[in-house]
Amino acid sequence: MSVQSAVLRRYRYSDLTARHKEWILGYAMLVPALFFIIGLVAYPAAWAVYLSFTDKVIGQPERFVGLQNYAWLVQWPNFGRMIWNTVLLAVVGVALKAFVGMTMALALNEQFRGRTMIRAVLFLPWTVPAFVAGLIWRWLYDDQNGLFNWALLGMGLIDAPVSWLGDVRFAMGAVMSVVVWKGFPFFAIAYLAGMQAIPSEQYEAAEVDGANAWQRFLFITVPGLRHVMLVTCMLSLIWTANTFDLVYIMTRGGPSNATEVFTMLIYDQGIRNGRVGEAATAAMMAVPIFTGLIVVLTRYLQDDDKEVA
Amino acid sequence: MQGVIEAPAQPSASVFGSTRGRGKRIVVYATIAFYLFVVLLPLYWMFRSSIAENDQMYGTSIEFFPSKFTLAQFDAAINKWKFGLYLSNSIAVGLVTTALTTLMATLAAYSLVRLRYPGRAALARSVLFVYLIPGGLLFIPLFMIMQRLGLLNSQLALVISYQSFSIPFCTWMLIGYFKGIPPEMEEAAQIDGASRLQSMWLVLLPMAAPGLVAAAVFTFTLAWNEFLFALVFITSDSFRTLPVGLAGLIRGDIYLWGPMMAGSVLAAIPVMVLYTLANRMLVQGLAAGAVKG
Repeated sequence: MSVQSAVLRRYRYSDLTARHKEWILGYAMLVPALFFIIGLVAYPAAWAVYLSFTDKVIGQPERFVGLQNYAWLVQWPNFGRMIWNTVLLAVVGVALKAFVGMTMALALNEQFRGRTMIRAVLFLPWTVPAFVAGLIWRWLYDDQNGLFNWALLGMGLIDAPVSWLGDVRFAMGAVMSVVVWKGFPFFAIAYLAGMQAIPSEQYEAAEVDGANAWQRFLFITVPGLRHVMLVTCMLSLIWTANTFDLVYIMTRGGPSNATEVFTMLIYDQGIRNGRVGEAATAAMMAVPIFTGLIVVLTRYLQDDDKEVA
Repeated sequence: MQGVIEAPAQPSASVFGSTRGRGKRIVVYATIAFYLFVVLLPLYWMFRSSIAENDQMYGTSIEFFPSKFTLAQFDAAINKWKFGLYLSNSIAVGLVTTALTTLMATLAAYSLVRLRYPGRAALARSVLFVYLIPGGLLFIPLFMIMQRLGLLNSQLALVISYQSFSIPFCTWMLIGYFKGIPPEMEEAAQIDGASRLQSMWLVLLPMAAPGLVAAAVFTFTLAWNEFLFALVFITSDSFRTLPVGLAGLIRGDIYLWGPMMAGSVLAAIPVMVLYTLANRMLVQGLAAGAVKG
């Protein structure tokens, strides 16, 4: 019986055309990865949508409450604060990273002694784990014993130690400085690679025609890097808007919510307060923005893939 | 692709012009010097704090260049503040995550690059899409899932949840590498009687070995650096990984910056070395792709 069915199965399988066998093998090889992706991304995403319509609190059964969470969140003062902080951190942070990365790439694109070594050193912040970067900078900004206060006091620029991370005026700037420090090498690497691909004849021709350095930058470098700039900025927008570890380590969203960003709010509300329904709602409200960015970015990067292939 | 970032052999014209003027040199050197200072100062301070004695770190007696060196901070980190425990947890989670991911991503990437079937293009596109979905959107429902599965406060929760970003990331990297390897040799092997899987195992994978190593290294560092899931899913100290364990040393009343910086040095150095070695492959791949448009 078992022998028969085995023969039967083999007969059936070999009866398939090569094309269909390729289909089966192709899908079969995807199954393990797909299983995890569906279980860990698609299913939780669907669950988050459901949770956002409930009053789920950790340890208690949930009730369906319709749009109540959404209405509550929109009116909650912290929510507006969170949106503003997240947008500020992402947009200004990415703009600064792009600017610093660009100036660094322009400098590294020149010929000078020790360039390879210096390039490797300047890229180091990108290789530092984010939690380590957060710890280092929290220590640098420390109000009692931090290097910055020590140096500024020593130079006579301040009279008393400044609580950089504990003052609503400075906390966001302090967090942003770490975001930029950690992230700009990524831009520099990408821009530098892009610059190497711009033919130098274009610069020579422009120089002969009397274009000055600024004009050459504006009309040759920038158009040549347009695509790289778009991709790096969008990637970085997604990453920066999702910053958690740096904020958690440096300020935990404080002081007085001055650095409360999107992921911090979800963590505070969902994990610390246990109010999972409201936390899921906060995540849901960010979905349209992230989805828009990801869809556009995926299309861009996928087009690159086709050209490379 | 390897040569994209390398300097052209001949001095060439750039945005600053082809002449080697003094003004241009001053601008370039000043920029480089400034950025070197900004990049190195925090790293120096981490290193310096890890080998300084406590009386040179706090209060008015801070010394920028320490006059005495000590390994006491490393000793305190390892023997008093459980650095070794966090380290072994991080290594265990990282290795298991990497092994699982590399296996599944290799199969998936081979399928998406070499085999032809309906829906392949859409599936390949969704790999990148899924990788870009931020963890901040997912950790609440993942927390509920782990709770329901009874996996909270176990390293299995981390290994499993890390697959949500490491599989798409690793698959996407490997798709790039596999595409860069011409299929002719595998086809020749198949004509000689090898099966699809044999041609993958015996022909493609040995050729893609550098790419596989790079993908594995990056997957490992993703797991090594991960903070949010590790914070949320692990509640007991004995299962903590390095990021959350070290961050837990921030305590208002006692100064633990010495051990924390010593731990940071130990946590960062291996990743920095691996990254610097493997970084070229990742960013050049990304940049080379992006440049084409």
